[in-house]
Amino acid sequence: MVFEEKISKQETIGVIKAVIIPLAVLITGMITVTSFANFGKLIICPLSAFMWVLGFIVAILMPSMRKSVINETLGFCMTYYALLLVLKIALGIVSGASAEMLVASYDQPMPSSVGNTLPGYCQYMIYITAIGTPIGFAGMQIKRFIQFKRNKSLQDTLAQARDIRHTGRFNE
Amino acid sequence: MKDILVFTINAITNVAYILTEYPAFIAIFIGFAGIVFLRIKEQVDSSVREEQNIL
Repeated sequence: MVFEEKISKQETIGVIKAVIIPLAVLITGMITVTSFANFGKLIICPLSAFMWVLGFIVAILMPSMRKSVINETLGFCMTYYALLLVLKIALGIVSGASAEMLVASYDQPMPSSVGNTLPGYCQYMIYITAIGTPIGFAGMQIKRFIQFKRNKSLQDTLAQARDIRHTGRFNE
Repeated sequence: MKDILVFTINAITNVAYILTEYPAFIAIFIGFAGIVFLRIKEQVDSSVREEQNIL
């Protein structure tokens, strides 16, 4: 007869956290993609899918760095979605502001074109964030993976050299 | 009870709509499921259960 400890409270909280954090990122993603309509369908959704899948593949291929890769993937996806949502809200705010309103709110003279340039800047930022973040993430993970492979082959070579020295098979 | 049922049906149809309207979401769901699986596996693997022979 064997006494086996049941699942502990700490373990339960760990499992719940393991599900809830990615779920929160996924729900934020759904809100962001659907709120951007066609831009979300054509750019945000495929690029964020690329980030999710790349993170998953790299996490499988590098077991020793799995935790940090998963955390980075979730962090990048969350930042990506949240930043795009914030920029969209900012675009909505500045689109309604004319040059006269900005002059009044800053209490100083400003060029009349400022009312038109502000939404333009916000749009540029949305485009740069939407395309630049997944490219940066891919570059980071691919570089990390190449580094990992290189280290692994170095470890293999050292292990092989030790094996030769211990067994002496090389001299036979 | 009826409200919960309506809420669940609404949620399922909404997810189905998103999947048909945004096909790339299928890849997001695959990545999500994989990441959740790896996170749970890590939790289960790292936890140690106490075992003792009573008899």
